[in-house]
Amino acid sequence: MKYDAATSAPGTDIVPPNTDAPSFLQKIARDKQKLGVCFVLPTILLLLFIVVFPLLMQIYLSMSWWGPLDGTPWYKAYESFNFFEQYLYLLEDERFWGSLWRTLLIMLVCVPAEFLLGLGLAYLFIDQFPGRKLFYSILLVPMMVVPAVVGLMFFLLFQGTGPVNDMFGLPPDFSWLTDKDRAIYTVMIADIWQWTPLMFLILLAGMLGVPRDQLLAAQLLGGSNFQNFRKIILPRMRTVMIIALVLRSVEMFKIFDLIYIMTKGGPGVQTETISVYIYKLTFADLEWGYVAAIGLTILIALSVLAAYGLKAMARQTEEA
Amino acid sequence: MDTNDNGKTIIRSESRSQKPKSGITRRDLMSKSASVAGTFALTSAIGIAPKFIRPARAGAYAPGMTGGPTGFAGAERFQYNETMSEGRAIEGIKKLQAAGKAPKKLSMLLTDGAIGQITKPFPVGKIGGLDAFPDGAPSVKDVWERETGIEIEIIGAPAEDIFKKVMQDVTTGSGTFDIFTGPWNSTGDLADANGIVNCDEYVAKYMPDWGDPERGTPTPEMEKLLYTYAGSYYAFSLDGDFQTWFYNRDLYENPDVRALFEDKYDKQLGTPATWEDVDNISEFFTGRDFGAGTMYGNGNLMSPFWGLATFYARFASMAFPNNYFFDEEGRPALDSDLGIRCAEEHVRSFQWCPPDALTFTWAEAYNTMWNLQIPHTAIYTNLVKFGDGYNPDGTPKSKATGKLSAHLPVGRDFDGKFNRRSVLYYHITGWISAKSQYPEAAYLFMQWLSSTRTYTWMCGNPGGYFDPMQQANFKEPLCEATYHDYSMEFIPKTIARSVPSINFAGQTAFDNALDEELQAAITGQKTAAEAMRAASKKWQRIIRKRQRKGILDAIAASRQTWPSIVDDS
Amino acid sequence: MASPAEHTGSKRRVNGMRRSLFSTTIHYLLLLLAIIVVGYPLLWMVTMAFKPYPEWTTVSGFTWFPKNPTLQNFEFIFYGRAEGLVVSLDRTIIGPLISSLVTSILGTFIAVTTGTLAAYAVTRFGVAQSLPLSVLQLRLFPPLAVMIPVMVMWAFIGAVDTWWGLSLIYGIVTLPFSFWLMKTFFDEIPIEIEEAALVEGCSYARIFWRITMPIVMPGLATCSLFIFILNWSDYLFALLLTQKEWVTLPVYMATLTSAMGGQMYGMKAALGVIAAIPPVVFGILIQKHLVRGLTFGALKQ
Repeated sequence: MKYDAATSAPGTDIVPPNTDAPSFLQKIARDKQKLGVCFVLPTILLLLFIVVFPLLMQIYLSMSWWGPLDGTPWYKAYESFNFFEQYLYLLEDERFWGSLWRTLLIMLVCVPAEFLLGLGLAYLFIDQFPGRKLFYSILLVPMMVVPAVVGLMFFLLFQGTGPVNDMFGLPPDFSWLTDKDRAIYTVMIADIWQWTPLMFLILLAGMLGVPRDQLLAAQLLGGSNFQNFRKIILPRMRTVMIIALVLRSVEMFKIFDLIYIMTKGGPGVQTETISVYIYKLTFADLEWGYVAAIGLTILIALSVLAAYGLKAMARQTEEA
Repeated sequence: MDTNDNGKTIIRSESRSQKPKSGITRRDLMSKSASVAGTFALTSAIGIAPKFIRPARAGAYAPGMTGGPTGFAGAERFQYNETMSEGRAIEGIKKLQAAGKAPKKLSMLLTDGAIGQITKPFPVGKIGGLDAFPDGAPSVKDVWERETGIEIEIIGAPAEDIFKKVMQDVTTGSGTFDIFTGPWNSTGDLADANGIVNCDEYVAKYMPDWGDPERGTPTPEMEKLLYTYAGSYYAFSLDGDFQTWFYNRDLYENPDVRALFEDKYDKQLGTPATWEDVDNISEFFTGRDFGAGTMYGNGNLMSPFWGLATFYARFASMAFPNNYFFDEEGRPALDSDLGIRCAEEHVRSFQWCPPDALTFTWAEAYNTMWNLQIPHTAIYTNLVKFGDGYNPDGTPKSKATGKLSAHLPVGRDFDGKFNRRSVLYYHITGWISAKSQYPEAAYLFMQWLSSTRTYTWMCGNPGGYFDPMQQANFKEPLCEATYHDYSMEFIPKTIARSVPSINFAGQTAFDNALDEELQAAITGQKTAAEAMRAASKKWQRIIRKRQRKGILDAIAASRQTWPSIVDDS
Repeated sequence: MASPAEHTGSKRRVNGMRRSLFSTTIHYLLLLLAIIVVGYPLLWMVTMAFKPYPEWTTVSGFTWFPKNPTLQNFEFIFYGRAEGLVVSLDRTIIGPLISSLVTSILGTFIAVTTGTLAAYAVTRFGVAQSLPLSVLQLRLFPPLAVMIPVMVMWAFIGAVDTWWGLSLIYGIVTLPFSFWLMKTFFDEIPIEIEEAALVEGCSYARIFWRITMPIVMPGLATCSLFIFILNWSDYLFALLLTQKEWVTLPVYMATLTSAMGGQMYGMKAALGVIAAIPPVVFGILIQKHLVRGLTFGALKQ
């Protein structure tokens, strides 16, 4: 490869070619540290932009009763300063803990369900067969549909007089979305429908990444398809599986659109997740100081979890 | 294709075969209708023969009048001059314009289903037997823009979520909209948040006719309730959401039905006077079939948000003359014995509701009435505007056409005295944004829009759901043509017997807390008593938090606005 | 980066001999079941888009396929009016469609560019070692919990209801995805290639642009698709950070209601069908990279 100073790195301007004395930009392009700083700078700026002010504002608001109904601008929240009363209330706020539990319940059901279904589907796609590409394409469509639309479609499907009841011969007063027990499962079904394809995609990639020669060898030794799957493919997919599970769990924790459109958190609060609860507190109860307190608490809890998780993952990679 | 579509009430699709063999293509039509009125669509022109002669050309006002709609029979009833509220608003705009203080455009955030009432020409075609004129009639927006040159830009938002949109604009202070609209109940929230303009000064200057003894609200108290908050003018009433009782008169008069009813309850089937009667009727009709499929007895809204009105109405008449939501000290009365009994009745009545009633908005509830699935309902009055009567092509608007009637609100029997009560809930209301750069111009537009002449003209328009509520509205033939004589009789009587739902600051929080608990009780997560106690606790917390903001005074003030009227039967 | 088909080419022959008629039948039956489950709601959506008003709800009988198929739902959202419909719209789908496209693409561009650069610097130049954790925290966090400050901030800098304001927030919230995805790709590339180039006298910038980037191009494509889908699907940010000019498709959908008929399901379904087109087209364009790209580099061999 011939040395040519004419290259331009993204983020730097085009450097005139073949000058003898290296220009300022060329110097940067050759300095690991400086170039590194240039590369991370946009990300760091964006991070600071979205973190610094909101964090300070949340800390400030969380220690007051301030809300928009006070009729004063937010920076005057000190007028109703209350130290940590919002946090104390958080401890005894049943709705907060209830919504947290519901969020976790949805995660505990949906993530494994999506995972197992995705794994099963991926297994069907290891081998080549006629129509594979078509099946594969159709199975990916759900994740391309906007969640707001998915919410609306499942809302219609699960009406008492809707197609699902009609198909299974259930009476119209067999309600799904307005039943205290079934509502949350109905929401789960919609989520599983939409996101199993993503699991399928990731896990299929993981399966296809297993070296061919190992599989061939196993098959020549006479193992059945399933045995090979279990003994050879699965153990080599550990990291992919962890990634798939973490990815879905993280997104699931924030679930909002689908639930808001299907049930608005109802009936009562039976499908109210953390995000839906915060949304109601923000725009119906208008308790912005309390929203800030909840936000900060979640932030701290998740940060600790994330730090531990990353450490654990790093340890695993070392072991592997 | 129909001769005209303005009388049609639901989104209807036409089978292609119905099209008359006319030489006019769709393209012609679209360009034609576009030229008539911007957004108003399609089907009009064909079939309206030129047999009608236009009575007045644009600009030709009745003697002494200087402005208002023209181009249809009766337009003079909505015209005005500078001695009238609308005329003063137009004059005001002209002065602002001369002083360079008027905008070119005003932005208005409006509930989706109301847009047509401002943007669609009215009247068009034949309305309830009255001949109207298809091409000459303007829309409300047309008239305003023609007279002032100020464009009105309307942005739609869903009715249930519009308050969030308003709050978002208020708190970000982005000033995107000059005018907000939303539920009347939210006036207190927005006033306390300093999000809307106190219009006292403008009201004094331009003197709107909202409280006009002949044409305006039925009583001065009603004007105060609808247009003011904490003693100041903030709100512009654009609706008449006094929940009114409608019933299937045909069914009530059917001898077979009457005989069966008498067998079961040992009394005549008639329009109910008490909630007990209502529940009997609901129970009786549930599961029966009188030729229109299986019926469900309870047509009232029970769903989140919309169903609160049903509960409030039932609650209000539990004691004589009124059962207030808060006692004199401002303590919530939800968990009182009467409150709990009311909640129990409310929950019990759900068993007589149609399937999916808990996901209904007003529109689905209307449909059940139009399909004759329910015998009665207390609901928004445009139920009959969209569902009773005939389309211009002679087809009925719904199966319920000609079968409906209305009756007084229901209450309870206290030794022969009946405290019949309804409730004012939602009621689309306009406010001027505190961030508007042209508050005075925005105010003048809203005064013009909500004054009795413009409003009377507008509320007859079936293009949206603004309902009549001013005295002038009920005397207007065009309004009667869309709402029918029985509404003209019973809406004013209902207004006189209506209690206000919660309208002071903290309202969204109050309503949401109660709503969640009620839904929990209806779906069997809690008993009615548990739900009421929990709701009461939540209300107390809200009061405690807002105490320093004078919420107790607001509660006391709200109690003053309840009606005292009592009936003998 | 091979497509799934290529990967399995050799194996097929081996398996082909083994597969019995029975297991083939089971295989196809399971696939069929999966397709039915996936297709059921999709079919409901697509047929709904072609149904006229009386068939939207099941009040007057239940139909899977429209009895009187019609294009008026599409006509309505594109022209604001449709033959045979009383109601009309004041805004057509065109504005929201453009808004969705502009903000999603720009947001994706911001996220992918900054994320890729940062990921490369972190893996290769060893700078900002705490960045991975900070970026991850950004994604873990429910956006609703910080929406109030964000709204205040956006209003302060005049970004509410602008194309750049929405693009910016999209770029920021999807940045973690591009960062982590690209980081794993860079981790995967043997460092020897770059070291060899360094010896040849290439600058670091040139190595990144001319050597590393071409290798991770398929990954970049998948990453872009995934982020595009996330931005395209967003409801919350558009709901809270736009007012009228830059409202996106999901928010616009919520306004499709009429006074008399309530929710316009047919139009909403038609909108759903249209909204699914860009991601699907994008997906088809990069199909051959799709499977390989989403493994977060876990397939190091």
